[in-house]
Amino acid sequence: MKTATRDTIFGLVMLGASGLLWLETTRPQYDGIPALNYGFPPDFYPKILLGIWAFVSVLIIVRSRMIAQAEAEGLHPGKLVVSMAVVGLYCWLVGVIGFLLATIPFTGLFMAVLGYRRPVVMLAVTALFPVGVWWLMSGPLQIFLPESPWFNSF
Amino acid sequence: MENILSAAQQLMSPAALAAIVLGTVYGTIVGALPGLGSVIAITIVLPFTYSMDAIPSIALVLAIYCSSVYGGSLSAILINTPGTPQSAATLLDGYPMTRKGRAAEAIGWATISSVIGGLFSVAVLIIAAPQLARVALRFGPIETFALICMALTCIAGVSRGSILKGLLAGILGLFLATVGADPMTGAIRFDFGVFNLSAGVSLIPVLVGLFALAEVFCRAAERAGTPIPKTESSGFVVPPFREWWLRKRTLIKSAAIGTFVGILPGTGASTASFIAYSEAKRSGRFRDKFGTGEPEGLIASETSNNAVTGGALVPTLALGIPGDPVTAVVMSTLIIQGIQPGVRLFADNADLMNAAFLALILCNLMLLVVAAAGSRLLTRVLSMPEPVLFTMVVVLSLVGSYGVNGNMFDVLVTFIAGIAGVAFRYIGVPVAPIVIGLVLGPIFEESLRQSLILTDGSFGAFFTLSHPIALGLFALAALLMAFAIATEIRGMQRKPAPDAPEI
Amino acid sequence: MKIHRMLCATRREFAAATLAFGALAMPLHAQDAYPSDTVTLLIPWAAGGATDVAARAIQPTLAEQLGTDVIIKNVSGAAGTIGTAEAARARPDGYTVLVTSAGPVAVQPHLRKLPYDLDSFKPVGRVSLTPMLTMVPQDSPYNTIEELIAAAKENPGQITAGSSGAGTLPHLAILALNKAAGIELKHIPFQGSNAAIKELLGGTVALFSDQSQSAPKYELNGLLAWSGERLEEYPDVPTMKDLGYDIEMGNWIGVFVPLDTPEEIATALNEALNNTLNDPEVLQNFADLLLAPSPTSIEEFDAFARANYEFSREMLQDAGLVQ
Repeated sequence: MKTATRDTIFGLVMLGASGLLWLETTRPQYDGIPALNYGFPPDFYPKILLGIWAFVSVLIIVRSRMIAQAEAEGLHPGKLVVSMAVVGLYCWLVGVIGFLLATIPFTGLFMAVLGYRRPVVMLAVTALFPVGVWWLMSGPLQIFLPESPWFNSF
Repeated sequence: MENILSAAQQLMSPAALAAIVLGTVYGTIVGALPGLGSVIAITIVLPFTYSMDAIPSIALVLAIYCSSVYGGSLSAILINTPGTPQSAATLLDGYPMTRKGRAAEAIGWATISSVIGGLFSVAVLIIAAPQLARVALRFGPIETFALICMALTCIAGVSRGSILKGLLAGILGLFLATVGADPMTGAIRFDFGVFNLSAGVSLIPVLVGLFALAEVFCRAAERAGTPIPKTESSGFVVPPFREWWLRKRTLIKSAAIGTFVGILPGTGASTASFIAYSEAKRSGRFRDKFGTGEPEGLIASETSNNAVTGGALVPTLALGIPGDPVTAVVMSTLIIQGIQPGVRLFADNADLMNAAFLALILCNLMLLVVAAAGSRLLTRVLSMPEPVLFTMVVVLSLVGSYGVNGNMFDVLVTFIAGIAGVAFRYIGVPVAPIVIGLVLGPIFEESLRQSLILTDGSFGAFFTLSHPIALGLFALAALLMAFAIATEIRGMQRKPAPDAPEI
Repeated sequence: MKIHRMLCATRREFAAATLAFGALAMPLHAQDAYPSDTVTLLIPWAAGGATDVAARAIQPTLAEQLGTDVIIKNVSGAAGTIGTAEAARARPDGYTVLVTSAGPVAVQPHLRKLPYDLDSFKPVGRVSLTPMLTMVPQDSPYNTIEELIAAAKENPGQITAGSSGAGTLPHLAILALNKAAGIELKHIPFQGSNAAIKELLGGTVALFSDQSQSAPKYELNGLLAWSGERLEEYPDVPTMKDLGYDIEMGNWIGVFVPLDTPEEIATALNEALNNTLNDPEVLQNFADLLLAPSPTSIEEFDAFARANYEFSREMLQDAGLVQ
């Protein structure tokens, strides 16, 4: 994609977003309570921000029509989507089957996704790292990570 | 003098020394873990301090406080993720240094800057705490608003070459900060019916997602993976004195800015580092190289955020008013140990206070020792194969974002912020302004609206001679802003399409 | 040498944790007598806040009393309602215990729609109750509450009063004073008590109502006590009752479990809590932290929490704040 096209689209999307958020601020919950407002309801400050937001978006669109065309830096869409999907799945699984049970398969899988192919190291990291983090958190740091519905404490 | 000697004697006990060493190591590690910061580090040891003697427990807490602020810079430098929000400005130049294979050097600059900033602020604390505390009280909502305006100019400073996009990113950050309860009326804004959003968008998950996850995703998707040059595990690198001397003005200014901002309750280390970075960007000798791995940027950020530690203890100790959650926890430990902060502090608790001051000095020096001992190990982290390192980064990011509020919703926020971070990089939107906006947003809006209630709705009344401090700060903010815009325009004239993606 | 003790304690814990790994893999909470497992104190406020510090002060002794591990989990956000909602959703087995100040359970439910109410909980007991005091700086032009009220009547909406946020107790105190005395104070909310006290000392606001112990700590003058009887330390400061208004307010921290928790578990927790609040070391820590321990029976606390809930509804309704 050309940088100019990219910036125009970005500006338009942001302009649209500011419009939608402005609509949201017209709902009654943004009127606040007169006794607490002192003339400045809850939507006062967000509306200022949204105004600047829309203005800057327009400037970006205008400027994108002025800059020289160049090819934007490309990313590998396949790899990007796969890595995001794996991480997304992992985030979801942590809430469902608990940190430890989700992290062990993720660790092995994600190293493979990133193109790592040394089974011994992968096995060692998969076995040690999740348990190590879990131990560090629930032991010395007393931060309790999500648990699975089946076992006591992990 | 006798007091100081007896304080030193007390501090030389094995228990107190052990507390300083262990506290520093532990604080550095927790600070370096993305998401986990000073507050968590200290509250974890709080129950233990209840049963410890006074001096060891005071030393322990102070050591953890100083070192956790420092620890955040290590992950900023090594894996492009600020371990704590205070280090957000550190990665702007710290990570580019790592990408050039100069990680050990970056750690050296950051460590020594931190130590200098910390010691400077302790000196100020010891010499002038009661007097400076009175200055802090003169900072009402209008002055705070002016100060935050000044910190916001940093948005322009970090948006090199794409000031419009940087500005938009800053607005986005400020806007994200309005999600949740309105600070003045409690009305819930922009929750779209999602109960968890009524708590707002937490800073840490956004920070971790925008930087750490986005970095992982981008590296995974780069067509031709350009590997990070290996940092030689050469141990601790002390940058030569000559190099320091060239950057001495930024060093001194940043230490002063950090200490001063620290003294003002409710502003915090992130604000200080943004102002210091903004100022260094304006006046630094190497300002043109900022953002590309210039040590002067590291100096500005690290000196100022560690200088906040001593500064923030000024109102905490001299008035009994902690300015942020960290100093609030520190204060409750001190109270349990028999130090009653407040106006009579130095009269009533001279012995303990002297010991506490000495402990602070020792803690700052201990940072050097810990960094020197750990530097080789830390840089070795980078010699791990990238896929292994990145997998670990993802897991630790998730743990950090979950750990702060114990809420799975924050994990979702992290993931979304990660995807957004990739999109922003692709479009060439700098992401640091989002963090600046998100950090400063709550206090910006709050001080603005408190001021408006005070002046009965008159914005013009902010700029009158009845608020001389505010007037001065507004002028400085305007100066910094004008300078950033002028630089940008000059840059545009030089090269017509300055559109390279920035971090 | 105490640091040594700390290390040993942690090491022992780790050893136990490692040995118990097999036991950890057991199915959830075996049906033994309560408590047979770790009890989690859920704090709806961030680590380091007033409620959190109080909970950490009772944590070790409470663990001894219960004969089990007690851990603290902070789930903060949205004026404490996020964590309180999580506590209301928890399994009613006594292993998730809410420790909170008044706001999330007695005030917030009136201000907006929440997935819980005070009725979602079974009260266990009170941790602390600290009387409120309306305070002014020493150089304030007002020496008595009468002077303040007179001045406020002359200049309606001009005298500023700080609070620690909309819907907090200091805010309720402003509303109650406005209503009782027929005055109109200009309310400026700050984020938390510390910020409000700073602005009180700095002269941004004229008065602030908070726990009475703040007055000697920050060298403030008390004008009005919100307790049932005059405070021991301030025999000359009138109470709201002295002024002819039947209003009592105090900062409290209480313990709750989900509504369906069995009665005997609540009783066991109440007993352990009250014993903890009689422990000399805990008492000393509370004194240092300016908290007044205030153990109650389950029934007393139930009535107290309900009365509080109704009172804040009345205040907020009169001020037009109930949605």
